[in-house]
Amino acid sequence: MPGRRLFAGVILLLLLDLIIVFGNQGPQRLNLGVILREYYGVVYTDQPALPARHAYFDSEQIVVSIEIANTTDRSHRISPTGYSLKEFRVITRQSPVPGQVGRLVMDPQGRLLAGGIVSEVDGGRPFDLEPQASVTWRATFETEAVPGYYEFQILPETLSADMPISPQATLIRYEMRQINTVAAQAEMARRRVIREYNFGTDDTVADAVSTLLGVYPESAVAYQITGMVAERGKRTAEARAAYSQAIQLLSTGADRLQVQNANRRETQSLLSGLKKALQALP
Amino acid sequence: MRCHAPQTRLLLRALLTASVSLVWSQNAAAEPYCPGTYRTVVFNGAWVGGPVTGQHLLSSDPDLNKRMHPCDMFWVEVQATDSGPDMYGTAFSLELRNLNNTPINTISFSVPPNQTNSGTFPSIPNYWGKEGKYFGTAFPVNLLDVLNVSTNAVDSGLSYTITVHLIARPGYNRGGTSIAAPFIVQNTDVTFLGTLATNQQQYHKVTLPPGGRVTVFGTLSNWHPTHPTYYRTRFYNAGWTLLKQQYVTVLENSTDFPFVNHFYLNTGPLPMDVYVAFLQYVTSAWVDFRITLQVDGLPPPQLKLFLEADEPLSFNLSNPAADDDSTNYVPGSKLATGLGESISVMETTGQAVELIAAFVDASGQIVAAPGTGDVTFDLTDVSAFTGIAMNYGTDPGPDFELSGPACTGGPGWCVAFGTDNTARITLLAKDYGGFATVTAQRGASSASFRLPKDGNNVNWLPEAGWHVFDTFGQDQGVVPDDGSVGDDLDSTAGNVFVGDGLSQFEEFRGFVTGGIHVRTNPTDKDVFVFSQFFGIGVGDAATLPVTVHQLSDVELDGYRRIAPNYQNAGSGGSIPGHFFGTLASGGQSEQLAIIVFNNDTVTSPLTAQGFGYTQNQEVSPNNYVPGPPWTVGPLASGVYSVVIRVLSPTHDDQTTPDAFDQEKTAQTIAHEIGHNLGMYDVQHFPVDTCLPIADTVMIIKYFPGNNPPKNPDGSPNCAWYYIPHWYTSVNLNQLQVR
Repeated sequence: MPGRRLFAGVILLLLLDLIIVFGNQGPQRLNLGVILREYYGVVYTDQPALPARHAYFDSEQIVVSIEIANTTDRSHRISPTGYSLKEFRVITRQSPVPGQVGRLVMDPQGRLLAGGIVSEVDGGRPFDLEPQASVTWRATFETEAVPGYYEFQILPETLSADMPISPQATLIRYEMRQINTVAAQAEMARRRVIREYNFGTDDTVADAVSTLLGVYPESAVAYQITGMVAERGKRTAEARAAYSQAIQLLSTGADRLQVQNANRRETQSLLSGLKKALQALP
Repeated sequence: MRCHAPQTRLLLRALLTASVSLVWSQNAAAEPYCPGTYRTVVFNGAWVGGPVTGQHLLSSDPDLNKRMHPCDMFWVEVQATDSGPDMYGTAFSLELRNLNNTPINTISFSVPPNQTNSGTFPSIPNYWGKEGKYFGTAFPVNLLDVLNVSTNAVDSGLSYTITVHLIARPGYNRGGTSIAAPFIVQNTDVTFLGTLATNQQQYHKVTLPPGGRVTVFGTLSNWHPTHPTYYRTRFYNAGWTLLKQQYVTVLENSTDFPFVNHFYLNTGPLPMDVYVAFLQYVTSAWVDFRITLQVDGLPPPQLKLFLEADEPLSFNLSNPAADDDSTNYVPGSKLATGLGESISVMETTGQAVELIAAFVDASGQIVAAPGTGDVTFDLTDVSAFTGIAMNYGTDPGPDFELSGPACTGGPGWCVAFGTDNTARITLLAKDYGGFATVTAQRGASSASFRLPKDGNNVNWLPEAGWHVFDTFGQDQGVVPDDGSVGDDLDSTAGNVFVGDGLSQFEEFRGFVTGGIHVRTNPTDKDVFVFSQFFGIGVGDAATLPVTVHQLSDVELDGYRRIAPNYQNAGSGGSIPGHFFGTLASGGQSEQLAIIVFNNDTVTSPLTAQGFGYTQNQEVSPNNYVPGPPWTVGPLASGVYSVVIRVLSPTHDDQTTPDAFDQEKTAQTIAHEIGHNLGMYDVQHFPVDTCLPIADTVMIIKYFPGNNPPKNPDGSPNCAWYYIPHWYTSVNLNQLQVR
């Protein structure tokens, strides 16, 4: 059973018509969570069907983050044994390939976030996880690329701590697809644009945008990102032109892949954001 | 006045009472032990010179089977060998004494010099104990124990072997030897066999209902060759007052002399304990009897079924009704605490309890089963809910199983009565909300009950109610079965919306949250959340005036349903009152859990247009309306964790955490969860200003500049300082779970 939190209280401020409830919340545990990461949604093709919430193409890298968060009020020692795939066990729950085995390839360092400070933890070495701190490991997930629905569970195998690790999120569910249409090619190119915007340089973004437009010239996203890079570089005229082009493609429905496949509210939100960004340019 | 200690007072009272009358009380007296088999006990001895004496005791052997018991007869075989060297033989003597060390008989014979002599005493088949041969009654004075050996020889060598042959007469001499320890007759008719020496009484106790009558009849055998004997049936009350006695004269050498109609009638208005004694009182006479004791007006023993669910299992045989757990049993809950049995046990072996069948008399005591045959246990009307709880497991099999020997060639599980007069079988509960009718049958007698007991028998809820625990594991008390059926009407103070989309039975059957089974309270609204923020959890939504349960991702299905296991392939069909809401699209939705994704897909403030999203229902074109969880679309909710990092001062990048991030994330989680519960955004005017007027986590557009939405000069702004960690009553009035 979770322990009782130390402090909770209720103050009713009737005159201000407020209800104030304060105090820390939730069970005190070492929570383990696995999340699919570095994934940029589906815009140009049909959405994955539930229970899949992610769709990958056969040449795409599947990245997961594995996080342990300390929600208790004291430090706990985390003890990896060798900081390798042995730390976690992968269980195949569903796969189009009989006997399918998934494999985690861990990055050599984990990312420790404690008190707003980020540091690295070396593989295989025990470390202390302070109250309200978390450690995150990045890993790539390797498996077959046969089209279909996949569901795996990732559980601690040899990784241990001085209190039980509580698995909160251990499932990864996704749909694997083949790149066999122009829309799929455009989607792959769009994802590369976003990834380069997040992690690359202006040059790599430009290269990715070029590729996307080569596959799908009506991509509003390509012009949106181009505008954002230009704005970041204080190239206002270039940014204005790019935003305007993106707005036009969306407003006229020329970006048919976006209009047909993306969530309508998100498309509206994107259009609204573009207009605001355009207005805000000096 | 000085008071004596209770024990002292009781002792004084007992002494005073004893001078007036004797009041006897006793628990069920154990029947005298009877091995029920033929046995031999061998004693050897050898010596040179004499005269010599020696002694052997049957009671020196701890093995009860090497002693004489009231049901035993015996005979003795003696072999003695004189080995010289003198020219005289040896006079060998064997004296038999009883358990009171009183001489009973002496066997003497001569052994010629350098020869062996042997003999059996008495000659077979006239065993001692049979037909008036001084032994084999209920009393120690008629039980063999001491064997004294002696010889008169001088300068002789002698060796001997004594073999005591014990022959059991099962069922003989079961009566008590005093009124304080009677044989308690719990079942009629009972026929007693035995032997009475002079002035010996065997005692039996019956409880007569008002108007009830005990009748004694049978046959008597007087083995004396020359004297008649006199048999009496005596009836005493609890104070040992002789109520009545009746006589029979049995002539000498009579075998199976019949007598009938010795009786006592309880004419009083209350049940009455009556002690029935069998007595014969002619010196030197021995009487064998075969007497039947019959009680009229007493209902025959009934087959009863009990449940033992304590940990560890320990059923109180002397008070079975009081120890019966069938009324309080709730499947999958520990009887003592109400806490849930572990998930792994329920998924694999199941929670083990014990069904106990036994015949009980009118006083509720367990008695020997009349007749012969096994008890057949069986299960009927067994539920087969999917999984083990509303949101956990997929097994569609039966929710109760019996573990024991299946009957050969027929249905059910056949179990024999044990030495404690009970027949037991293990019952395995494999669902926190399962139910079944358990039955025990023996011949024409049967007993059954439903588990869990459901007094009103309409809503599947246990009569005993169920314990509810808060998120910290503290017991919040027992929810009673109020007899209602279907959906419930959970309420929140100051809020017009009722219900949480979970029926009474679903709240009882319960959920697995954070690896623990919990049952919920049908008067409170329950909200289930899976958050990908493993440290922050539900953030400031913990302040909601509903019960917020945090789930792991294996505790809700791929479609976010929180109670997908409503189907029942077994008895009773699927759960009545399972919630289906009608969406604006015309489709239907079951109640859903709330999901808050940690969304790092959107990294640009321009794309994000905020810190998070919720896919609220589109009730008309471009009109998205917050509503209860079941109306929220498959994209659920998300918090743009990267966007928060980008916007929060003082580092405006995607990777560097800032002091504001955690607080802002907790608020945003609460904001999105609010949208999952029907709460609307709270606008403030003028928008995009930075006055310290925010009073809720549901506020939006709380930035000083139009775009980008942060303070251009990097100075502290409203989003980081002035948004509180709570909801207002306006928000809470909108709160809608169903």
